[in-house]
Formats: sequence, structure tokens, C-alpha cells
Amino acid sequence: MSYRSVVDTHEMRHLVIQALIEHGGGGGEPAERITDEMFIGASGLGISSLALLQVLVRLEEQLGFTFEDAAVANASFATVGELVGFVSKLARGSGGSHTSEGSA
Amino acid sequence: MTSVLLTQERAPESGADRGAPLLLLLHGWGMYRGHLFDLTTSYDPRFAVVAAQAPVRMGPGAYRWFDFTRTLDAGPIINDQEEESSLAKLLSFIDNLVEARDPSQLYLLGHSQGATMALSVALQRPARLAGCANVNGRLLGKRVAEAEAPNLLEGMSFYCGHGLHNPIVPLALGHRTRDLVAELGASVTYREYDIGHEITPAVLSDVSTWLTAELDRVPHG
Repeated sequence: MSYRSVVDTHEMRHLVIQALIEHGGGGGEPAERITDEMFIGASGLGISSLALLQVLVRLEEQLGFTFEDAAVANASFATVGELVGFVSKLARGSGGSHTSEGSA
Repeated sequence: MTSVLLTQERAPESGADRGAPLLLLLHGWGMYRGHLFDLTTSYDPRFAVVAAQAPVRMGPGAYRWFDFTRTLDAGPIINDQEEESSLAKLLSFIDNLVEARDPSQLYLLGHSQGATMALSVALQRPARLAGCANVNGRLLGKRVAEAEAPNLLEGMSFYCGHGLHNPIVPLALGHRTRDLVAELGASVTYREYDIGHEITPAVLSDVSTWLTAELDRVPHG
């Protein structure tokens, strides 16, 4: 069963926002107040680069999906919406793979 | 011990990996094998280029050789267990690589803790290496303590580049590394840059020029 059959865009957005909150994003703001336009970093949710990495690891765990190193290393996303779009795009098959074990 | 490091590779212009001079790239903390490799057009085409990926995965696109804790004045305090494990894997990887390719010369280029790993390799496998480029790395005290021969690095060439405003590996540690490498008998080219801990195109350009000069100085093949 592919990831696409169980997670639609709305669900992906929910997963991303929950992961951001779990790693300190938003300073206690409820998920409903986090919008796509909000910046992820210091000028918005306050997510550090290391915390963002942990967010991506959390999403990998939840989705059973491993992001390709190069895709993430070369990516640029500043806002919540851009992150949701990035994760959705990779998960659709253009920058990751379904795995059950680590790649390192 | 078998090697488990993932790699990315570029063939030399000669087309034959075996016997060609070999440049091994070691990325820094939180990077991946593509970080230095993506700049391979900068490196002399006579080199076969191999980029090794650190064994500890932090997340997508982010790996480390070892964990560390920052201090304000003494530089980073490292996780010894991870460092020792990664060094053992890297040494095994290099031994296998040299056995397979028999390079005319082997150079290492490391950034940050990749440079620290490269310097440790130089102390552990001096006969394997022709030289080493270290950008914003440092020699680990425990590795220096293991270096028993006073001229262990004699005949090797080092390029040491360090950021004047390096918040991770303070400039003083860059100076100490430069001095220790020289005391161990190596020929050292040292340069400081108006940067922090990063590696910039200007630094890579200098390293690339140095590597080309090394190949010209000691003809290979």
C-alpha cells in the first residue's frame, strides 16, 4: 500500500504541523492558528535547523518513508506551506523512497 | 571489518580509476556525501574523486562522524565512542579503497569534523597518504598522544585553512593544529579566511589550486 493511498494533502498538512509543534514550533500556539504563510524559522514558529531536521525524521517515521538526502540538502523552504508542499512532493515519489530500515 | 560508508564517485579524465591519483572527500557535521562532491568541477580532472558519507544518520541529508557538545572557551567536547567507531570504519574504508584502486597518490579533503577525521587518518595511516587538506578542522589531542614517531608526517603535505571568526572550532585550535602538523614533520600551507565555520567557494578554490600544485610537483602514474 503506497503512502498516497492513506495520506492526502489535508492529512499531510496536519502531520507537518503536529510535528512542528512537537518540536517546539509556535511557542504553544494551537494548531488551528498555524497558517501556511507562517515562517518556520526564527521570525515565525521559531524552529531551529536542528529541530527542523527532527521534524523531517518524525515525518519519515510516521509515513514509513525516507527522504532522499540530496533532495533535502538542496531544498529551500521558508514557510509552513512550502514545507507541506515539499514533503507532499517528495512523498509522491520524486525525492524519496519507502523503506523499513535506515539508509545509513 | 568491512566498509559500510556510502560513497559518491567521479572518474578521472584518464578514465581509469586504478592507479590514478585519488581525492577522498569527507564532509562535516550535518552534511552528506554530496556536499563537497557537488563541487567536483573544482577539482583537478586528473583526480579520481570519492566522497564518503559519515556513518551516523541525523536525518535526511544530514550525517555526522561524531556528536559533540559546544563549550565557550575550550572548543567542542566530542563523543569519544562515536568518534572511535567512525574512525575505525573510515580507516577500514580507506584500506579497502587503496587495495582496490592502488592510487598513485591519495589526498584527503575534509571540512569541519570531516577535516578532523582526515587529520586522524593522517596520524593513523601516514604511509597511505600523500597529503591532506583541512578546512576548519582540528587535531584531536588523544590522536596526537598516540603519534609516537616524532616525524610521523614527514614527506606529507598539508593545507590548513581556518576561519578567523570560527565559533565552532576556535582559531586558536586552528593554530595549534597547524603547529602540531608541522612539528610532526609535514610541509604545511596555512591560510586564514574572513569567514566563520563554513567552507566557501574562495576556500575551495585555494584548496583546489593547492591540490593541482601538489600533482604537478609530484608527477603521478
